[in-house]
Amino acid sequence: MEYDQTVVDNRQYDTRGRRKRVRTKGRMDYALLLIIMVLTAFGIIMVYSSSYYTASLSSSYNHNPAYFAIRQAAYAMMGIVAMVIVSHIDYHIWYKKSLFRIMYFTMIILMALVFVFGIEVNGAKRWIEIPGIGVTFQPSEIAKVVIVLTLARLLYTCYRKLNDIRILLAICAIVGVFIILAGIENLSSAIIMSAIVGIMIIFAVPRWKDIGVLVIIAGVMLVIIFSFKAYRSDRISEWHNQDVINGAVTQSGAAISAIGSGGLFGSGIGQSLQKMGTLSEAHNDMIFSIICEEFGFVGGIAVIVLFVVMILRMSNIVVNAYDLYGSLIVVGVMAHIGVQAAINMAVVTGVSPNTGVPLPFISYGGTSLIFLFGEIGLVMSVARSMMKE
Amino acid sequence: MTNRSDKQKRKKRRVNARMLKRLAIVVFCVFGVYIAVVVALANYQIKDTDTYKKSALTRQDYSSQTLYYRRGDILDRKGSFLATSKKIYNLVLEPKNIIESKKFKADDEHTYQDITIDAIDKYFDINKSELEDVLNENPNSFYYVAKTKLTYEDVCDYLDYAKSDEGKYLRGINLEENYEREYPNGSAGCHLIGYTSAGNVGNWGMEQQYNDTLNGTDGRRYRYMDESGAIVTEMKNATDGNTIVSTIDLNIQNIVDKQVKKFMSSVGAKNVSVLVMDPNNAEILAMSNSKSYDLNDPYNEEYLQMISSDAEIAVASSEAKLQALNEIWRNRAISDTYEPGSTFKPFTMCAALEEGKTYDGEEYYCGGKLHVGDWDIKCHNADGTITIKQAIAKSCNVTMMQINEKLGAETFTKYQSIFGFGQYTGVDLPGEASASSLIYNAENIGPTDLAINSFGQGFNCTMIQLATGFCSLINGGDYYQPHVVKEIRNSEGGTVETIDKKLMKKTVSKSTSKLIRSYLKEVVDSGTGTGCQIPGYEIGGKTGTAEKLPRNNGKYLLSFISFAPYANPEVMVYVTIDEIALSPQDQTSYAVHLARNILSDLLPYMGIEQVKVKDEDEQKVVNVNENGTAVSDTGDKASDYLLNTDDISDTTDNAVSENADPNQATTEANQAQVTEAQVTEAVATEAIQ
Repeated sequence: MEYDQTVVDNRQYDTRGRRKRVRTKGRMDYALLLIIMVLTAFGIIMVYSSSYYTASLSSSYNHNPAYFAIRQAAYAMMGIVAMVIVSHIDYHIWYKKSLFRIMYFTMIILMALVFVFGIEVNGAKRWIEIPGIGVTFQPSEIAKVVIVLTLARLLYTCYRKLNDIRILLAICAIVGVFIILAGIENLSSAIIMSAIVGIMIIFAVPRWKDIGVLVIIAGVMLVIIFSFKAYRSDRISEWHNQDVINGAVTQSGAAISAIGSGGLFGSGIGQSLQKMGTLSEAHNDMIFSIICEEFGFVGGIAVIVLFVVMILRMSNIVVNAYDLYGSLIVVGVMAHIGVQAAINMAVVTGVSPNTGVPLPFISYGGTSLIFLFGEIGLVMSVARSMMKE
Repeated sequence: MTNRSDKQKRKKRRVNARMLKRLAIVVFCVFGVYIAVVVALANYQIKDTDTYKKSALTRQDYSSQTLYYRRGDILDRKGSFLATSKKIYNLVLEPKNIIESKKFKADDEHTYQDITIDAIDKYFDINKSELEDVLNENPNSFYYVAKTKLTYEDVCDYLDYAKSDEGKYLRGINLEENYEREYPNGSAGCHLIGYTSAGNVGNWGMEQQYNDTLNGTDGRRYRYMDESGAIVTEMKNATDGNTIVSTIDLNIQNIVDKQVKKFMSSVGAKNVSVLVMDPNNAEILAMSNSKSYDLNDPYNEEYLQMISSDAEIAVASSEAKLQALNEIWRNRAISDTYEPGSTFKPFTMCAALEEGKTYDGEEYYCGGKLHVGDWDIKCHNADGTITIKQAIAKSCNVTMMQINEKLGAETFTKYQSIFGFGQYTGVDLPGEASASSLIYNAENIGPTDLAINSFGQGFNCTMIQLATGFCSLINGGDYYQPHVVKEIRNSEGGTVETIDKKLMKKTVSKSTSKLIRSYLKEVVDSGTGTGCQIPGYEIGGKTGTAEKLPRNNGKYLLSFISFAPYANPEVMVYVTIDEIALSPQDQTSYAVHLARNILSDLLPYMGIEQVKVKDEDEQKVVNVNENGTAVSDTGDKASDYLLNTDDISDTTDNAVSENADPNQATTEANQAQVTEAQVTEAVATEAIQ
């Protein structure tokens, strides 16, 4: 096993004599960086294209057609800054017990605060406002990163005991808190979190039997959440009923119309008809349908290819990471982005039932975008200390 | 965890082959979803793209709903509704949603669909089998218009039900709100008000003239679901149109309509038009044409019977029918031009008084005819030596011709223009004619033309032109722009604009105005208009009996222009009767009587102060019916018309004498285009002084 040629082992041991992990002078993964930048830039353009009509109509956006696009660009800037900072920090810093504990409990408090101080939008509390500056954010988006870091640490430390179902149950309970807290108000976030946890466990746990047991337990939990949240069932029946009162049509129906009308090469940028009020959340969860309408089959495939390449690049980092902790982090991030993109596109194309998840890097949304960049920062940090076999 | 074990494990803690295998499985699962997405995209975008293109377009219609604005009302000057917009509802069903609602149970026995179907049956009278047909035929539709123009009374039970506990199970029933134009008074003032077609497009009258003012802007409602599936509504509210307050007085309009109808049923004519104005500001109080129509039903072909026989209607093309309907819709009082006849004499007289060419008390001699140019132009009777006051009272043509001779072509045409003839009055109604090509100017008027112009023959005008000019003669010389709208209000009732009287020019001096009023009073007191006497009121007026072109055909336009009270006019009534259904036609007393009938209702309604009735006057009134049979060759009904009302005097003031066929140039419809040769000829043969 050889280190990268530029290895600088400047902090071999700490004061307690514990050996510090070797820091290598690896490189950022520039291919991955390019993909992220292309997706983000494309996202800003599409947010503009899909929102200018509704934004210019609405007084709450000052009739400014670029309202969403400008904000999205600003979020992207903040995200890039976050990414650069995180990528230059040794990812083992997140492993530190003190920081880990602060992170974990702060997150739980934040998610609990949503129920107390949450801003209710359309019947669901998801946002909290930072007092004084009026900035709102979605704790559930942050929780996705925290879950990745938490689970990576737990699986890494308990590496040898992963055959013990009790240990596995304990680990799941620790991260399950987030899923339950998120699931109360935000089912789609809970689904993404479950997928992250599931994939990381499949990746790390040796025995399929244990994985099976965990999946069954998770399934039971999910059913319980469903039945407790009566209002959500209502909303789901509303979906099935396809009745949006007074002549409006369903979101996915409109999305499929949009996609179908795009044809092979699309109607051209800015030419989407469906964003003119028919398709709600055109700049948000349903942005993929506008991409497909304006850029056609070719545009849709291009976006999918970008995500595929992104996953392959991350897989490469997983394989070559300096240690398992790094690999686990990257697996978690990959699961988050890959699954979220898959669910989003599957919903839009009618492959899966409707649940609102944004398309990573493309859909409008500040918290989501900034923390996605943060996650890429983590991946880059792992990539920088990559080992060459 | 000890440091040692940590160190020990560190080497081993890297990804192993099993993990890489698991990674591959997970990655392939995710890619599997991507492939499914690609397959779905290919399916929609390559295979079925045409279907979806259409679907994307049709979806536009249902996704957002138009919120219709309310067109503003038209009120009369007292606040009564002349036109209003009533809310109506269209029942729009969403078959797809009704079909889907079968899946949901409201209770153990009923699904949402059962409740919906029952409600549609109960509240909208569409039974189950009818509804099933609709659902089967349009299973994928979100927009099926089941019923239109339901009133609030029709739907209020349903609205209550929809709000009840059970109402939440209803699916796919949608009431679309719209407005329908309603004219509460039917045909009253139809030519002034106009009607709307194609929703909110005004046709004729104020509806057309003030179309943009009355109309508002549609709003729009967008409904969609957000990421959580909650329904979000975005509204852009409609802006309702403005209301206009007209100068019309509905009561006066009804009085006029009633009298016109009465005249038409008992005597009849090709057309009767009446114009009532306030001389002090040229506000139009009422306007009536005998060919009226119900504003709520403007396209009814029964109206065509007023102008054509049934046989003609049966074979007429739809284009011809529309053209014929246009004849009924048009406002003759402002669109039709005609030779005014003797009602023009006060204008000639005022011009001469203003210019000092004559003076109060000046005498002229009328020998029954006057030789002008090549022609002898007759008066209806040889009046002998008369003052100018008597000339107006007796409607003496010869005196007027002599006065006009003194006035000269230049001054006469200048005054014609000052009085507004040949020009648009600018009344705020569509379709006004100016008659500018049917009037002479100083260059092309010959001596014969000048002579006959003096008593209102040989040139054309519109009723509104003559009436507006006449108002200025009697109100002290102020020529106001005639108008039918006095105020514009917004939908909340706040005043947007007040349209005050608009002084256009001064026509005559106060003293001339006073003189002409006294002359016009003499017409009613002792002249050709005695039929218009109403006990207690001092009324002035002037008759007109214009022979229509071509001359010597026995066709006449009878008219009477009147005002009251004499000293301080508050109302002006102008009546024209085109081709009365009598033989001979030149019986101007009918116009006088129509005006009298209108005034006798109108003056008390307007609260115009009465003067003390002298015994003598009463006596006269009692006697009127005794000499009321002067009219011959008329049907009984027609004679009754005069008998029932008031006295008859033979007031025919024949216009053009027939001893020679008057110069063709003066009688062509296009009189303005007099050839040079004819002018020279007319000038060469000097008229008598």
